[in-house]
Parts: sequence; structure tokens; C-alpha cells
Amino acid sequence: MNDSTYAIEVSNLYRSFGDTEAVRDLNLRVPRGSCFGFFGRNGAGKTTTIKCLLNLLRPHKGGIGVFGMDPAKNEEGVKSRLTYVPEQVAFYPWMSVREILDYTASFRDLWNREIEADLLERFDLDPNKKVASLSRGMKAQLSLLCAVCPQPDLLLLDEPTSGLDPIVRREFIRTVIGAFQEGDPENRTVFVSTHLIAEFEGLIDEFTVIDRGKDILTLEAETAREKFRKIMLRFPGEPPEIEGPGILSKTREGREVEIVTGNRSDKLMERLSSLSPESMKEEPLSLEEIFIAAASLKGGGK
Amino acid sequence: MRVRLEKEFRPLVTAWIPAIMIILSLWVIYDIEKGFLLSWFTQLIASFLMGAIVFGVEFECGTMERLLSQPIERKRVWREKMGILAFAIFIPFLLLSVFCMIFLRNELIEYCGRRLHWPLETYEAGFLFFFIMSYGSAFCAGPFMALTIRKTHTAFWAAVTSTAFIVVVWLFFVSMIPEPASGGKFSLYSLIIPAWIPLLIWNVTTYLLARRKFMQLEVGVK
Repeated sequence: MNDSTYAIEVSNLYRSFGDTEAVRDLNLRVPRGSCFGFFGRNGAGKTTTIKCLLNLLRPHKGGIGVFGMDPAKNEEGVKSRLTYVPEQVAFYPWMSVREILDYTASFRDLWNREIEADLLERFDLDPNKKVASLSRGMKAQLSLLCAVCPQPDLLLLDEPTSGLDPIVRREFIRTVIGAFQEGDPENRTVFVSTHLIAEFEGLIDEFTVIDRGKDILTLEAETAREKFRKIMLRFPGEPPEIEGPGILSKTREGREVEIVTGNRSDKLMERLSSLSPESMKEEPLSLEEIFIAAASLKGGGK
Repeated sequence: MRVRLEKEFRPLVTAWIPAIMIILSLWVIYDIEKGFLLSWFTQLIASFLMGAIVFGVEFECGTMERLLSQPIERKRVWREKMGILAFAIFIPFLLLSVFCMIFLRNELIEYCGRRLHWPLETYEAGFLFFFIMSYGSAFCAGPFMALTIRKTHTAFWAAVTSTAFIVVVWLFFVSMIPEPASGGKFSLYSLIIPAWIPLLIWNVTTYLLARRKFMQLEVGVK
């Protein structure tokens, strides 16, 4: 069996559809055992990238490695080590939940019946119910269940919460990822593609932001929180003009100025202090705010 | 394995059961000659529908992506699907043939206007080949059209009309050739019989193209 330090390695991936460049020169490295976020707006090229990883689409240029294997050359080998939850969940409508589980299990060497029973109970899914009568949310739950039970080394999630109720989203995703990484967290990698980043706050170890098919920022979540900061300044009078490197955006409201920086440094803080603000507070950005800030970088923040 | 074969067979039943019901009704309603011809035609249409369904159902249900993301070689998926399709098409065909041989032999012989004897004469063998090849078209052109068009019903009509078109074009050109022996045109039988030749070429071509298409199939192409 081939192996690699990285669960996923993508170099200079390029894929177009006619004149539309869906992915262009994308680079990606997903360490094993991590929970990796793949963030981008709708149409940024996230799904195309995932489909290239699964050999459902073929890259026009560039290289792909999943556990050191090329999905185009060793399709079965790659897919035996991963499971995939697509954005558009689809099942055979005539099958029951039980039949779907048995059908999916028939492709796998390993199927954890304990996890299956546990999640069926937690999600309140009736095994005898026909798939056609399930709600969109229940289908999403079943799809995640099918992905977790084989206990693969890599779980690929493409907008996994898009069909779910906003109230249950976060709790639900924690349950699934928790159940997945429970046994062997060092070797179980989760790759989450989403634009609903708030739900994955606290779960993501590292992330890449993709915009118009190109990776514009790759950082560890902790490093990102250290670098991307929101600085609130209050001045005694009219705030001065604040410009300079590292400042991504600024908002003025009366005597207050809020700055978002993508590269927090002592030098920047000294420069801001030298403007003699009445008060100065800073706080880390959430991953969602970092994503929005990074999207404004357009390739300048890497 | 069993659950996978069941899954492949289930959508074909939607074409199989009505076809069998219609055939049984035809035997009751019509006389032997008409019953035989109509049931052959019904079974053929049902076979084309099954040919389109076997891959078309994956596109209709949106499950092709799920199927191809499972850890199984595409070759094996192809074998499983085509194996079930062969079973679904040829078992009723064989049953129908055996039924005709056992119960309707004399009527058929009379209907053909001569006694069948072994070895078969050229036109008898040709008719048999044409018969088999038309079922073969359902087996090969159905999946090819479904993989190309990605819609079951459109694929079904495309497979039927394209196969019929080939036979008609062939007959048109063959009818242009004067029959040397009699000096006139070929008879209807002698025109239909050699039609198995273009059908054989059509079947081999569409089978190979369908297989290639499936092996290189991309899901999610915008």
C-alpha cells in the first residue's frame, strides 16, 4: 500500500469547462489526522476539486495524490480509503434506510454496526422507512451515516450541512465528526468543503481559502487567529487617516475606527499606538470573518 | 453482492412485468401468428427500455456519483450491470423461443409456409440472426444512448429509432440491387434477412462505445 505524510496532495490542478476555468493552478496539502477546511464562495471550484480527488472529473493539468496514490490510476485503492458526502444527496427512492445501509456496506470490507446503530438512534432514523419519504435533512443524515460507518481514513464532506436545519447543524456535525475520529484520531482525516464556516468553528485545524479556482490563503487555524485580528480604536477627537501594509479593511463610526488586519505584528501595533488613541482593543477573528477578509485579499495574503 | 444485484434488477422489473403481462394478454386475444409477432415486438420494445434503464436510472436518481465514488472498479460495475441486463433481456427471449418451439412448432412451420429442418437454410438462419441481433441492439444501443443522453426515456427512443433507421436504410439500399436470378427485386424476406449484418456492426460499435464511455465517465460536468 502506498502511503504519504499527507492525506491529500494537489499540485497545480487545472480544470475547465469550456471557457470557464473552474480550478486553476490549485495547490493543496492536507495533513493526515487533521480536520481540514476548504472554504470558498459558491462557484469557487470546491466541488470540482473534490470530484477530481475522486476521479469523477479528470484534471486537465496538475497532479493529485490521495495517500500517495493517483486516483486516476488506482481508483479502487483510493476509494477504499475514503468516503464522500456530496452536496446533493441522492439515493435509490425504492430502497429503505436499511437497504441503503446494506447496499453501501456491500462495497466495504469494514462496516461498524455499533456506530450504525448508535447514529440511527441519535438521528431518529427508522430503518424500515423508504428513502423517498425522508426529508432532505434526514437524507443528509443518512448520507453522513453511510460515510462514517466504514471507518475510512479520509472523510470528504462537500457542503455537508446545506440540507440541515440551522439549529441542529453545529451539534449534528460535531456528532458525526466526533464519531468518525473517535477510534483513531491520528489517522482519521476530515476534509470539509463549505461556505457555511461558522458551523465548523473550533473543529478546523487547518484551512485553505479558494477563490475563482485558485487557493488564496492556506493557514493553520491557530496561526490564522493570531494573524487575523480586529483592532478597535477610539480617539478623543476626529480619527486620523490610517493606511499602511497589513490593513485589510477599516470602518469609521464617529470617533471609533475598526481595523481588520491579516498580518498582526508588533510594528503595526506600535504604529497604531503612535496615533494616540484613547483606547485600543484587539480580538481574534472567527474563521468566517477570516474567510471574508481573505476573500478580499485576492491572492495577496499567501 | 446479492444486495447489489437486487438493486440492479429492481428498476428493470418496471419494464419486465408489464411486458410479460402484455405478452400473455396477446396470446389470449390474438391468433397464433399475430400473437407470436406482437409478443416478439413487445418483448423487443421492453428490452430496449431495459437497456436504457440500466444506466439511465443512475442519472435519473442522481446516484451515478454515489455509485462511482464506491471502492469498486468500473469494470466490475459494468460487468454487474450488463450481466443483469443480459439476464433480463435474454431469459424472457429464451423462454419465449422455447415456448414457441414446444407449443407452436407446427403453427410456425405452417406460418412460414415450409417445414423447418436441420441444417437451417440460409434465409432461416438469417431470420434467426436478425431476431437475435435486434435483441442485441437493445442490449448494446440502450446503454450507449443512456450513457450519452443521460435521460432514460430519451435514450430509449433514441436507441429504438437509431436501430430502426439503420435497418430501414439498409433495406432501402439493398432493394436498389436487382435480384440476378429472377431479374426482379428482392422479396421482403430476402431483404429483412441480411439486415442482421448492419445490426451486428451497430451492436458491436455501440457496445464498445458504451463501455468506453462508462470507463471514462465524468460526473458533474457543467
